[in-house]
Amino acid sequence: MRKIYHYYGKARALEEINLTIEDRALDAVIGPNGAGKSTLLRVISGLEEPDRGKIEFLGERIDGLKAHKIAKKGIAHCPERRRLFYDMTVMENLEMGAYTLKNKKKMHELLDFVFKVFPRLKERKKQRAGTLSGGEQQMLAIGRAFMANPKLLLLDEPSLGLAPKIKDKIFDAVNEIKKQGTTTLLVEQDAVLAMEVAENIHLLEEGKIEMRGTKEQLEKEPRIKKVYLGI
Amino acid sequence: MRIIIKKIAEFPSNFQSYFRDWISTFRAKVTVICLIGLSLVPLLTQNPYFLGIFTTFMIFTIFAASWDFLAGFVGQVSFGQAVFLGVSGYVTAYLIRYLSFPWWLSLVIGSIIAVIFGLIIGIPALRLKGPYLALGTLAMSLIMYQVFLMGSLATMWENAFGTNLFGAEGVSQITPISSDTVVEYFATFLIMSVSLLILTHITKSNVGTIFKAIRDDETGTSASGINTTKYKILAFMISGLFAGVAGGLFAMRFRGVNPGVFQPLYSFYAIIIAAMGGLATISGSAIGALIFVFLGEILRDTQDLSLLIFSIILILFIRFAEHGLLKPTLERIQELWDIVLGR
Amino acid sequence: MIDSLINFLILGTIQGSIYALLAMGFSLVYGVGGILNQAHGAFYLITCYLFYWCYINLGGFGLIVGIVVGLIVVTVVGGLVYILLVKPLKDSHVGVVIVTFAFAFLIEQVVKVSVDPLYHSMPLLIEGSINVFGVKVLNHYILVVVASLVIVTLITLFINKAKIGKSIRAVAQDAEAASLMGINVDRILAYTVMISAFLAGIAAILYVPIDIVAPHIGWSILINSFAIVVLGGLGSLPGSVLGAFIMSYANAFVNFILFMPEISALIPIVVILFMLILRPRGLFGKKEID
Repeated sequence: MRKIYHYYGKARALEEINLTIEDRALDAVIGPNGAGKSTLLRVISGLEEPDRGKIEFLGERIDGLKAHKIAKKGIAHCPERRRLFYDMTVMENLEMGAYTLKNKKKMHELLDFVFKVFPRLKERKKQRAGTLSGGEQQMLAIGRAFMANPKLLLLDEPSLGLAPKIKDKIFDAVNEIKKQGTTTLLVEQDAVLAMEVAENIHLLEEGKIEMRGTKEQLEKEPRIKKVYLGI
Repeated sequence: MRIIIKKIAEFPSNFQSYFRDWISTFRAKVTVICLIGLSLVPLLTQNPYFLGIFTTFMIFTIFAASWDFLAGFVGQVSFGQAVFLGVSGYVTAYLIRYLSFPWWLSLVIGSIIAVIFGLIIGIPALRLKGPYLALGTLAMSLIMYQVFLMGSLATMWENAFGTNLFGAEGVSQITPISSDTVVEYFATFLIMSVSLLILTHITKSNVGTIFKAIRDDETGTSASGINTTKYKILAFMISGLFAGVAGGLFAMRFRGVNPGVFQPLYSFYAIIIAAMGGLATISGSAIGALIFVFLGEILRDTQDLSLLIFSIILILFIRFAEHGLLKPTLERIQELWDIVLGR
Repeated sequence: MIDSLINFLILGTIQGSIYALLAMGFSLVYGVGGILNQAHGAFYLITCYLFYWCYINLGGFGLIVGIVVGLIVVTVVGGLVYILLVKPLKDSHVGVVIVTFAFAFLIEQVVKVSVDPLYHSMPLLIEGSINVFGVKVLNHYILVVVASLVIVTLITLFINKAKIGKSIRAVAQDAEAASLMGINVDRILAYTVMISAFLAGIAAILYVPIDIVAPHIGWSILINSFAIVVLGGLGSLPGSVLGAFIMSYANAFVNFILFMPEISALIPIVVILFMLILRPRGLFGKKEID
């Protein structure tokens, strides 16, 4: 049983948060801009330190660890705005994603999976990441994070700034990753898309989890309906 | 400029109330005690050697304070402070030696030329930030060093004016402020006190607030409608003025200057003194300079060794004691003071 | 006239090869860590004096010992400078600049105190010369060019192909993203400074036999490296190699064609000022300095 439990107060935009993710689940955090969604992920992956509280991953405390150590423990963070290595090729970006991986065979398996989900990346293998289109860059960012063979994948706003068609493609891929059994925490402003793929949804507003539940439960909430689903 | 003139006009009336507030603080009492102590030194000894060391210490205090003002309060780290020192030193020395100007007039002109150099360095330096500014100003001081060292310029100048300016010897054999070391001591003492007073006052004024705002967040400051360019140039000019004052005094104290004053070494002196005293303190430079000059004098015969020790001291201060000596020392003294008074 | 032209070409090429090594290291450290290392000249100085010391105390055999010791020590010192001095102050650019500046002073004084403040010279690494179209070319010159070419190629390959090299590029492009990949950014930066120090060491070993040994040469090495890197574009490796050759040919031109050696010391400084003010991104830099 993998469990991530964390609880802390006031790391910049965040108030007290209590969040647990079950093994092989896909959880989504939705909420408006500036609610602290990205900060939440940055704190989990060690880019920012929580002021207090604790973060546990697979029964081990990881708060206060440096980002690269947390990455080695199996948390892959696909950051906001992609943050690719733009002067490197697609292939090199994917290799960097697999930096912590020692097993060459596993790496080829992962690469095959990424290329299966995103055939476009295979075509552009040798192209520089900076020359890709926005959608392709997002695919690469997800692919790069997946190449770490993560035990927990953190996805930050994968649909940001993309056309609806491309968004669907990206979320198809998220679904593929979910089917493959990777525990995922998705942060997404587009609540409709997020609720389609996620099993558990957490609503983050002003640094606090205001509501949580399954898709069916939240869909019944009038406030969610009105503000986030636009029904 | 208008602001400055207005400030000067308001100064006397403001000064009274300002002074009354100031003297009631603990720091002011320490400052006054230190100043009185320094003014008593010539009563204890009139040995020209000892008084000379004190004079040197006060000159370096002004020089380091000028650097601390620019780096500590405006955030512009210059590795070319020696340019001001050298330029003013050369001008002062030249005027005294060849045009027989009185020392104080030479010093004033020398310092004004240093202000102009502050402007000249300030303008290109505006495009540079942080480490680039440091290396850019370092390059400027090296240019001055090379130019003043040039043999061909020396010959040209000598042929044209019949005097020595360029070349390795520099300008030598100039007369000091006074042949009486006590007079020299008090003149330097007075100039140092006034310089530190003005610098401290500037940092506490409205202009000083803008300087600190530029240091802490330049983009934000310029976004709030303040012309940071103007203030940065002003800061370079102020810093140039006081480094220039130090340069003129330096030339008179050591009876001459040579191209060596433009070397990075002298900028390094300013940095280490200010760092020992504590950045952004102005008067901390006095503590730094005291240690620097006296330790330097003790290790006089092994100048290389003393520089070696100073390099290590600077590394240790920057690495482990960012606040320097002044603030912690004052706090200790205050604690002691409170205990003595039974508070 | 022909003689000076040949001198111009040969010495321009030699100096260019040396400066390429120095500038590459300086640029690498800047490009990866945003560190303008004021101690770059000090790295050169360390190897220079270890090399000299071994030669004086151990004779001809000391040359080989000096090369090995000089390179190993300077590489280790590079790592220590990063870990002990630069890393703790990384958030303050000014702190890094002052502390590396102070370190450079320290090394200058250490060699003054431990050896002496005088000028010295060293023998050529290989004696003899060959005739190229009637022009006598020292074997040492050929060694310099070949060694520099090999090392520049190896470093370029390393940066582009090796795993550590790729990590170095990743950190240069986005240090935070690199840390998310599991890359220990501090370790990579330490490696980068070590590579830079190693390159400065190689440059010292190749250049010292045809130049001088003196405590103050570190500063001219620093200023020249900075000038070249500013010219070629901060952080750009091809730019620093090209900048190195432009600078050294300009230098050789002033020395051997115009016969104005006094001016040559001013060249790097003028280049720095003009480039910083007129075109801060350099000839090949991608982004402007900030």
